[in-house]
Amino acid sequence: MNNTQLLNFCTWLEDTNLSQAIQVNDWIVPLVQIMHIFAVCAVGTSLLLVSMKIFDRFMVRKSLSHTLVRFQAVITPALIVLLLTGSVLIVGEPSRSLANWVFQVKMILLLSAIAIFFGIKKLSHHENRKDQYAFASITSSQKILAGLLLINLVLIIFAGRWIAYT
Amino acid sequence: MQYLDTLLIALHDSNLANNVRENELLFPWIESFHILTVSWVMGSIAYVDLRILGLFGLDEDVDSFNKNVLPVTWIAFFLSCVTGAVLFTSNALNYFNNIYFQLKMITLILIGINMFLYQFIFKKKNNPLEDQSFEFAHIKSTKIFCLVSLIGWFVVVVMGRLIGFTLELTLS
Repeated sequence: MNNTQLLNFCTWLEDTNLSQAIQVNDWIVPLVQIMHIFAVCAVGTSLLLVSMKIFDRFMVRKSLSHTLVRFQAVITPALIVLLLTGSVLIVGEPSRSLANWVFQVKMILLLSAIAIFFGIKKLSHHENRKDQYAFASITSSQKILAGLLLINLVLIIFAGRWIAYT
Repeated sequence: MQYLDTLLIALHDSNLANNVRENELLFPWIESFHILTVSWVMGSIAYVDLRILGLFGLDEDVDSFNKNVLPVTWIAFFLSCVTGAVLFTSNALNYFNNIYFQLKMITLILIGINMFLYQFIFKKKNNPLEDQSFEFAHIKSTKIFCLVSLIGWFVVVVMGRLIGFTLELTLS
């Protein structure tokens, strides 16, 4: 989709009844943004703690696969909330988001973060999932991925704020 | 109140505040950093509180869980205070008169009192070696402290976001 098509799509979306309803109501955007922020807190902190586990600073007596399963139970619903609230915000202000390059970078970073998370999970696949204490040592690949995950996380949160300024 | 106004005007006129206001990039960068650290404060405290309330990580010992997570909370809290203070100076008078900012600060004070009461009075008073009925009282009361903390931080984040929708901008 080229830039003109994207802008035309944004204009069409802006004129829909749903978008108009979001734009007219003063409380929808703040309320949805607040929900979005809480989901960001949940995902952000979970990914930080997973990275800490990989760097041996958290849940040191538990296996990595056990820790990942534990935090995935928080990350998955929080990502669904992010998707839903993010969609409402996009429909409310399509030009501000879809056509904004920072937003596009944020989406790429988000997809990368999810891919990295599952990459780490795949690398811990050989651990015995049923036994939380039977853990294998953390590999340097997992540590590199954890570092990338942290950088990604910081950039996603920064990009989220910069959408408002670009 | 006159002294307070003088102080706020002095903050507003400081070099730091002028730099933050006049540099197009500085405010968004500091604000982004503030949001990052606040999200870590909120998230890590929520995890600690949920662990004590028995709603997360039950197979991990409470003390060991807190020992690893709380340093993150404190570092993130310190950084969010520093970035928050810099943002405040850039528009001190308007922030100070904003109802949501006032509610956020009051809630932070209440959270601080809640933590002080728990750490320095409740915990010291209930010594498990001296009091046999310690465990039950400890668990029940601790959960109340945790609930207050969770609700408090929830309010702080909500108020923080509402400031952005209601603050009057001062460009010079």
